[in-house]
Amino acid sequence: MIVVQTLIAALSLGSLYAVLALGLALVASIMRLVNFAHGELIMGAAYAMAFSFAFGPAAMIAAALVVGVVLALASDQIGFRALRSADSTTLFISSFAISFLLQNTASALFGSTSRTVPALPALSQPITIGEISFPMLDIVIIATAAVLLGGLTLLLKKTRTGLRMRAAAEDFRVARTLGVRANRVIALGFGLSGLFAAFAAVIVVAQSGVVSPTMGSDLVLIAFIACVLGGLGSLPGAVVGGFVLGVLTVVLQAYLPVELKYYRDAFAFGAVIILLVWRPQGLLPSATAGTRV
Amino acid sequence: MSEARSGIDLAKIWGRRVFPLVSVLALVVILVVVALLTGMQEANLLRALIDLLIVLALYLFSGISGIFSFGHIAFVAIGAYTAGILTIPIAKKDQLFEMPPLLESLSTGPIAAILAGALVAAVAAAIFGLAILRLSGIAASIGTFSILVIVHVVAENLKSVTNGQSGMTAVPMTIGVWALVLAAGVFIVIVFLYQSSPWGLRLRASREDDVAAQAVGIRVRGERWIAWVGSAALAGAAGAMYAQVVGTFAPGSFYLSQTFVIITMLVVGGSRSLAGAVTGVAVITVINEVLRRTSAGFTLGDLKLQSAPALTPILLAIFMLVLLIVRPSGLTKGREFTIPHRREVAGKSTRGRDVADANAGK
Repeated sequence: MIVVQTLIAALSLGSLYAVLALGLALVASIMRLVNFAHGELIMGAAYAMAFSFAFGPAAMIAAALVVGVVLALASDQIGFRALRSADSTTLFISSFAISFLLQNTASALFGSTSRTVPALPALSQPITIGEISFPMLDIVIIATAAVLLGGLTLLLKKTRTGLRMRAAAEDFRVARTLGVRANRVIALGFGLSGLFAAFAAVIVVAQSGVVSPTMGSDLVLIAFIACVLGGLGSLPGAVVGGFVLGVLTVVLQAYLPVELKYYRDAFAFGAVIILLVWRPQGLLPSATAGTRV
Repeated sequence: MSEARSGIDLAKIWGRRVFPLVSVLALVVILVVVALLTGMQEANLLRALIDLLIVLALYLFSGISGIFSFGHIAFVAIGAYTAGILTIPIAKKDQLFEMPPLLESLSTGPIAAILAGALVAAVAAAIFGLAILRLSGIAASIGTFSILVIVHVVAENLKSVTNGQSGMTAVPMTIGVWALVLAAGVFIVIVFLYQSSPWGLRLRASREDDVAAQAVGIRVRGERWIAWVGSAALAGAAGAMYAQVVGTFAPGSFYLSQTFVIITMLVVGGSRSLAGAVTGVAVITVINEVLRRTSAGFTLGDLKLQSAPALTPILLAIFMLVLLIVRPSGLTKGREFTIPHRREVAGKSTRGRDVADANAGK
């Protein structure tokens, strides 16, 4: 029975990590930008939830979505639009600066301490079936992630917009010469990325019930490692990397001896490093990864 | 005839080998003297010098290889904890911490602690490097974050060695301003010798064009590993000195915000030259210092100006964003300091480098 409970916990955490990693990969696949500020998009959406708390859950989720998408589009316009021809390291450092900017702005505006958001109490009720007991929230998280993944797949595979995005991810320059509007497709990538950040914020706030200016940092680090593990710039890779990291974390949490549990994240990240020795391009490398000579 | 040629050679050696090094060394000394004369608080000056050491260490790997490392603060942490364990008096350790007897019995002087910090950090880097440096470019950069996380988690939880969240206290504060200036001089010389050595040149070749470097027979991964380990050793030494400057530190001293400061300094100055690394530290320190002094508030006629301390990181981030757009290769544009009147002669090669930059951007 423990096994089933662990499995549900693993799927739930894996779903969250997959949503985190996909948000990052959506932008990375199109424009070689690994957006460190993705964590601050989540933080912004989470604060939107904290401030719309009085208006009920639907308003909170709506506020999170609006703020997530607006912040994503704004960071593109302010930070990255002028750097379209820069190399990926410059873009990454620029996103690092945006992250730092947003984080410090948040702590100047809202205070640097965390505040509680007793978001959605109905979701933390445990469900008991026979001997198995698990939080309702886990099922909601898994379902949310499934809907998001399904929706994204449909968008990418079945619509013309999705085709443009896939073309841009495959080879940006050729896609442009074939009539894909560069700034529009990048903005779309950022918008979707902001949407995924907002859903990640909803999940994280529902789980933990607190928001703080620095909450995004740990989340974005997880998303990074999941993306690198799956293959940087690959969307299926991000999903796989997220699930592998999530399952690994839960399994370590369940089976590590008590005195080593505190080192769970160190073990998980260490395991990822070892996996990367085995497959330096990631588990599912994107077609464009590596150098073509 | 031969006399004339040796005369030219001497000028060349002076211009290319000696002047860039001497000018950077002189800049550091002049800046420290100016800081002391203008009444910069000693704690802030010490902090700036430690930052300089860390940026120099980071430059040795990231500047020369072109792969940014976000894990170097972890090596600084390793050095700091090593030095802390080695230099806190045994009686104090017994009283304050619950260390295993073996660690508790260790005790060395400050210089041995610095060397030990460098050694431990280098060993850790040698192991991490085997995995991380297999990744390509930006993936390797992101992989370095995992080192930061792992070391941070261990520092927070391995109570018997690091004293957990509460951190280390009572490290003897034996290192002062001029000792750090001396250390900076040693670091600068080491970095300069490395970057003009065959190893350094091969690594720079791989930075400019990875594939071409491999094609002419450079073992890129091996060259990167050498620089990585050396750079971590310097970072460890810097951490060991940091421990003996501040006396008290905790895991939070070595994480993302510190990483941001170091990266900002290197990028602002220009990550592709030693002069850039030093310039970056100087410029950011001056900005910090100006903001700090104005935050106390001063009056200008009837106007009372005041900037809030919370604004400092925000302004730094904006400064960096603007600079990345206006001048992506940093204030020095990745050049070493050159003798002013020789600029015109150097004009041709300069133009060549701009073309190379433009090509790299494609």
